[in-house]
Amino acid sequence: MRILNWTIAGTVLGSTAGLVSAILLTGITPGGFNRAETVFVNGWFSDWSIGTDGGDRYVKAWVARHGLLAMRKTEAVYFIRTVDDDGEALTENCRYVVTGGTLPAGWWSITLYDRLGYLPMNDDGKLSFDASEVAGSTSWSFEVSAEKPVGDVGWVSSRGGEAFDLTLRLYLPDPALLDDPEGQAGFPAVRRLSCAEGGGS
Amino acid sequence: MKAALVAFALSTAVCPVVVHVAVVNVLPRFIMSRAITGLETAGLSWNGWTTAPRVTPETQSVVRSSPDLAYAVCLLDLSGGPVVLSAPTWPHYGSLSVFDHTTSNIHIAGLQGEAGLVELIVAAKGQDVAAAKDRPVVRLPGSRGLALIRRLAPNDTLHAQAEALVRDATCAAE
Repeated sequence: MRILNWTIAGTVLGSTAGLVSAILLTGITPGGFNRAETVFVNGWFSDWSIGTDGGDRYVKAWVARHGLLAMRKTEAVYFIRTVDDDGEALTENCRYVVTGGTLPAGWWSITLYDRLGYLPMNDDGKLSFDASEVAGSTSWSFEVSAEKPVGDVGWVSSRGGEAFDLTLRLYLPDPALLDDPEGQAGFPAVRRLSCAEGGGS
Repeated sequence: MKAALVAFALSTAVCPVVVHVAVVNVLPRFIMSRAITGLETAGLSWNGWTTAPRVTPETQSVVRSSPDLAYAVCLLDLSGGPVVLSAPTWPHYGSLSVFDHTTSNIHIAGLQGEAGLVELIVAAKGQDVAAAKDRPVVRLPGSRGLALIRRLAPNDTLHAQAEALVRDATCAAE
């Protein structure tokens, strides 16, 4: 009887350790191991493991949790920008100008999401800016602000976004981008123009 | 007492390894199973395409959903035999992807092109695919999976056109 009790105790203890270590090492919960293969390009970051089937079983679990049904990297890659060129967090209280040139992909878009990753609940109908709006031009810009700017300028609304971020999607990326993402030049700059009183530095 | 301690030591040494390996292996299929159950609960049917409404602040259901793309989803059930998948081509970027029950992207076909139809057969391991003829055959390790059509459609007009094309797509038992 004593042997059985000790075996049950060891099984419960060991199984718990196995379960917790698996959850932590796959990084599927906050505070777990970070399996992201992070790349940075001019202030934009991406997890290069998303869009793969995972190099090993731990990465596969990570990708299943953080990039389920994501497009393969050869189809599309995603970059996120949470700060302006001065390193300040992007906020609805400030106006920004985003400028860029030819991007290494067949088509691209930049979409604004709130801090939880959702489109802000506004009815401006302008939550993204894409390649079709620049008509093949080699340089382009648009403003990000809570109110529509005066004049005929590109605009993405941050109204309701509070502390927001920008997601750059590059569809059919050039092989050179996939091979050497951090060696790419010309990723969009995000310059702060002004801030409402008490909002941003 | 000595035998009890040995039993305790053995069980605390073996169980973590067994459970750890089992959980790491099962996690992807658990995550996929939950996703499929969620889609089923949302009203998606097996072996039939369902189009998703254009992503807007009001219709978004998952984080970071893309307002650029028109989506159509088919939950694959191969228990009754292979399934035929087809999708019309699209003048802009488009793809037809097949995922297995462990989240692996087993197959992807480009849809970009003029006035064509991409067609393939999805079959479980060991299923007879003699009727496939010259159509490509994609084998899933299990009997369930998911197919996804994505088409670049960044405005209402293109989204409506992409949605209309799904009526000419097939996801049905052979």
